[in-house]
Amino acid sequence: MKLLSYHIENYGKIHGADGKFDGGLTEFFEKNGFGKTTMASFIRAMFYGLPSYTTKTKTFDDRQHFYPFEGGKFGGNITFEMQGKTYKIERFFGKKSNRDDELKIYCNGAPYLGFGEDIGKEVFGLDEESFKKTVFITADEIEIESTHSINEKLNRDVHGTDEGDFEAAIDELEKVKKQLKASRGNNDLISEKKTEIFDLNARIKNLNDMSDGLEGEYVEREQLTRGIADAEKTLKEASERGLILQKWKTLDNLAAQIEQKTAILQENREKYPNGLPNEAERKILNDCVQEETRLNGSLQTAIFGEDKEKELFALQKKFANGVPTEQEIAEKQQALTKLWSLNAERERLLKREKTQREKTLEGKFSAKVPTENELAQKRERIEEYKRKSAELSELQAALLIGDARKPSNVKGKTVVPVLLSAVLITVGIVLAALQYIVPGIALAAVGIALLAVGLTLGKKSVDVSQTQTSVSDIAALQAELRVAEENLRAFTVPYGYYSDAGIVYDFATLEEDVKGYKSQVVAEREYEGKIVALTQEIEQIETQARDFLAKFGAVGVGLQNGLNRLLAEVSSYASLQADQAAASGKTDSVRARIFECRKKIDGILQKYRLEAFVGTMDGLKGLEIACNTLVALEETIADLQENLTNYKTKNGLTERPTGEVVETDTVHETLSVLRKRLADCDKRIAETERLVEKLPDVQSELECAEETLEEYKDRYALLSETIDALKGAEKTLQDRYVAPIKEKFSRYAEALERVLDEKVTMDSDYRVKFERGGEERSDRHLSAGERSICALCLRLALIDNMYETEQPFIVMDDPFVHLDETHMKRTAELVKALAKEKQIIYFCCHESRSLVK
Amino acid sequence: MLKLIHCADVHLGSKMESKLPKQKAEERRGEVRKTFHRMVEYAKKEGVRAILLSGDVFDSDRPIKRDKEFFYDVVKGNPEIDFLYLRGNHDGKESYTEEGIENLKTFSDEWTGYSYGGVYICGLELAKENAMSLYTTLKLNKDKINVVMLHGQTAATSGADKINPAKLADKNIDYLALGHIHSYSENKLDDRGRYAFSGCLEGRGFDEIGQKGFVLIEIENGVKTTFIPFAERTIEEYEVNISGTENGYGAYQAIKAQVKFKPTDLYRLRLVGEISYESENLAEDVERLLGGECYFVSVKNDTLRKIDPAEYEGDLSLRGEFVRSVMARTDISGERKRQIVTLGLKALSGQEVDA
Repeated sequence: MKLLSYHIENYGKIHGADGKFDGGLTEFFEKNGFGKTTMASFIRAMFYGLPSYTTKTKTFDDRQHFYPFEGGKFGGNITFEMQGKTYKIERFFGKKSNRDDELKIYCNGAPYLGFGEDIGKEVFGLDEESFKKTVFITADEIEIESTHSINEKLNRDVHGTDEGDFEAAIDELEKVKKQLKASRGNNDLISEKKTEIFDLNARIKNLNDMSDGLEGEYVEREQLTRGIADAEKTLKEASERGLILQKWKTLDNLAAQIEQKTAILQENREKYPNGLPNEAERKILNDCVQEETRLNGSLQTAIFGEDKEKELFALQKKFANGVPTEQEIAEKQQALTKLWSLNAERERLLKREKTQREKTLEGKFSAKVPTENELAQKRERIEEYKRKSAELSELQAALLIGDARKPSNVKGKTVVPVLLSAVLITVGIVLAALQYIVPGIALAAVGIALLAVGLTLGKKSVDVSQTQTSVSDIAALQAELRVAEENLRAFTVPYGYYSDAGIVYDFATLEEDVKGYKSQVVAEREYEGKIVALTQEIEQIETQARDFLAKFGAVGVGLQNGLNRLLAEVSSYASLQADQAAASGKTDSVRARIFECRKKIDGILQKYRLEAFVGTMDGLKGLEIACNTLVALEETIADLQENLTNYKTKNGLTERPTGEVVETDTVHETLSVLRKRLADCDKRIAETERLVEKLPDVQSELECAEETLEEYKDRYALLSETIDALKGAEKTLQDRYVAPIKEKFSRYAEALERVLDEKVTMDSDYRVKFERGGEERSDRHLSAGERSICALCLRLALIDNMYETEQPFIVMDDPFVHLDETHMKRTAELVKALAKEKQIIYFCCHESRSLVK
Repeated sequence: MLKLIHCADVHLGSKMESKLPKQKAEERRGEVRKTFHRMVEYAKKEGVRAILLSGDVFDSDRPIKRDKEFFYDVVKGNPEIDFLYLRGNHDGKESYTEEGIENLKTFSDEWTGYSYGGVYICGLELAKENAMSLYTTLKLNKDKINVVMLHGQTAATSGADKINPAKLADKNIDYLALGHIHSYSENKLDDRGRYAFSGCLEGRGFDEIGQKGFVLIEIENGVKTTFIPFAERTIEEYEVNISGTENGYGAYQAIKAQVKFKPTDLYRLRLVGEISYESENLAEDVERLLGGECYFVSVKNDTLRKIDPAEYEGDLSLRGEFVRSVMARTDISGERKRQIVTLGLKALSGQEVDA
């Protein structure tokens, strides 16, 4: 591959420059400031482009460095030959970013896209970094080392394979290693796990310490438990002792009761020094006293006493004229019963009250009642009045109807009033019959009047065409009626009859009331007659009864009471007469039995020297009480004695303990304190044990953590071993591929030996070493000039191995600035010799380093 | 006939298998108590006169109040049964917090005995002081049935926490009731007697697999012993070869085909064999799939990545060089080689590697 020509539009200080490259050595020998480095950079930029930069970029990269000083389009083109084809790369650069770059490639004059974006990598098989270390030689790049890209290029070329991203694999493994164990700090899994284990151990220690601490708590608990048991025992003993003393006290109370009852018993017994009758004797006493009492009563009954004598005498005297028979008394009783009935009837009649109507009628007519004549006269006047009223009505009707009436209608006009009057009369009669006299009469009167009108109409209808009713006639008739009415009113009004219903009605009412009043007067007279008759009959019966009672001295006590008393006296008289007859002959036997009873009573009383009073019912009661008291006392004492014995036996009260009841308040207080302390202690133990219970879990956690840590460590070791193995394999490969490089290097090294006067060798890492004083030394012991020569040799060897078929050009940007004149001379010879086989673009700024001169 | 129960290593209050979730660990601790109580109920039903507790009733020298109360409540609640409680290496100090329990018979560092008719039961709590002398101080009547209780590890030598059966031979022992080993075993002591570890009542972790229970001793014209499996749950461990499976579900199916799971039990599975698929999360995946099959399962993935060195013989790339170089190593195990190769190839293929 050879560079053919270039055109620099603008690049750094260079603009509008064109030039051609020789096939062998092309030297650009110019003084400083001409732009050699710019030119060299331009060549590299054409293949690899320029890095972008931003305001944050700290380095001063070529895009900034070579941006045209005078402006204009930034870039140019370069033409080269490769594998028999001519390529032209035309690049123009943006100011800051490669996004603004323009790139065009031509192959044999035609646009070409076969290189893709990374032209340098495609053309040279190297990245830019490796390009700088091989075909682009400067005075600054004198480090003698290979790169992975170089190695890859070497491998690929040797084996034709491109697999296995060694560096990526190592990076991945190292990354995981760092996750497990960071090179610095503790932010890794192993450190974290160790920390966790440390913490878990601390927790376990803490829990173990707590567990150890429990021992003290257990001891305290045991002491407290024992203290509580002791206190409880003391309390129990005190309680038992108190109980026993209490029982003895109960026993003492029983004994005291027995003593008290015995004293009372003794006192009672002293009242009866000869003792008291036994139960059988008391029964005899009781029976005899009762019998004696009963017999005495019987004796009293058997004797017909003085009082009875007096009473019988009095009755005999009363009934000296004979004793009334039962028949007589019964008849008198019947008469008195009838008398009661008659009195009741008379009373009813006397108390009868008049009705309101009766009272009203009496008020109207008690002073004066119209006579029949007066009423007959006035009745005629009323008839006249009614007749004229009817006439007036006809006249008024006729006047109203006038000539307009058809004769054919007369008949109808006559019939209707007649029928209506008939109805009214009938209704009036019915009402009067039902005691509605006044309305009945009034209706009948109206009916009659209407009938008259009807008949008049009928009659007049015949003459209607002939007769003319005049208003004057009506007025005259009306005047007559007024006079008639006034006369009639003069009669009715004094009796209180004046109403709007009219005089006819009022008179009818008057007449009816007069009739009623007269009937009332008749009825009053009948009542009075009845009362008189009853009174007479009552007086007669009373007189007869009074006379009968007076005959037997029953006066001044009322008839019925007198009769009752008489009846009782009659009965008593009969009874007394019977008693008097029965009394004789009974008393002797009763007195004999009384004597027997008394004898028995007295015998017993004398036996016990008891007072005579005892031989009475009351005395016997006292005796019974006294006996019962003694028996009850004896029984009570016996019961108490039995209770005392039983209580003593039951409670085992054999020996009375000495001393008093022990005071236990302090013990109770102590017990309370101990129990509280025990509760606190239990609480502490429970809390601690609750925590200590976690110990097995924490131990398990620790085991797991330790196991995990071991796994991490093993994993870390495995990663390390794997990395070592991979690196070893890589090294083996390098060793294998470095041999031909060493061979090439040795060829150049021979020349170098001549240049350096040293024996130069190379190891598998392309590290150059030389022998001095029999010892192999690092190239770092060489001078800068010597090292630049070594670097040149290595690059040449690498190029020889990397590019076996078509080698690229070599750019040398004044690399020998460090050489002295002698070394420069030898190096110049070497480079010129190389230029016979390789295209070398050489830049220098000093005559002493010019290869051509 | 006199019936006895030989039981040991109840370990009330013990921690459980560390992988058990906390809730299940607590549940298991409750089940240990429950099983002890069930055993006492069994004893009552069977007319057992005494229960021999050959050590480690509690897991700690200072058992927590709840466990202590539980134990003493059970003892006091069953007065017809004697509890012969010999302390072990775990519960040597503060276990006897209650005194005066008539049916609780205890021991000390000297031989202490209790008679049940013609049967004599004695025991001694091992200590440094009596570790050597216990063999000579033991005197037993040859005409009686002699049951001896001890807690320690059987060994051919004598010393602290050690029991040398050979030295207890010809001591007229009919049955030596031992505690300390958590699995049941019975061996001949001499022509007359046997010695046995009853094992624990409940397995607590994957170091206590298999059936657990107690020994029923029936004495009538001789001593007859029967191991009674009694645990609430059994812990089992299986090694399962899942070679030939193609993914996690295939592995699950292979496990199901090889292991009969019981819903009540706990399992630990060790997956072995060679597989050719990614298996970093295989254990977790399988655990999830088996979650409903049993009470608890823990899976350990010890499978190896299937690697055929012949595949890489002609591979001149870094991958080939890497595999060849690792497989050629003689300083590491085959399992390690496969682990390195698996990880390295994964990294080289650009996949993410888990920590």
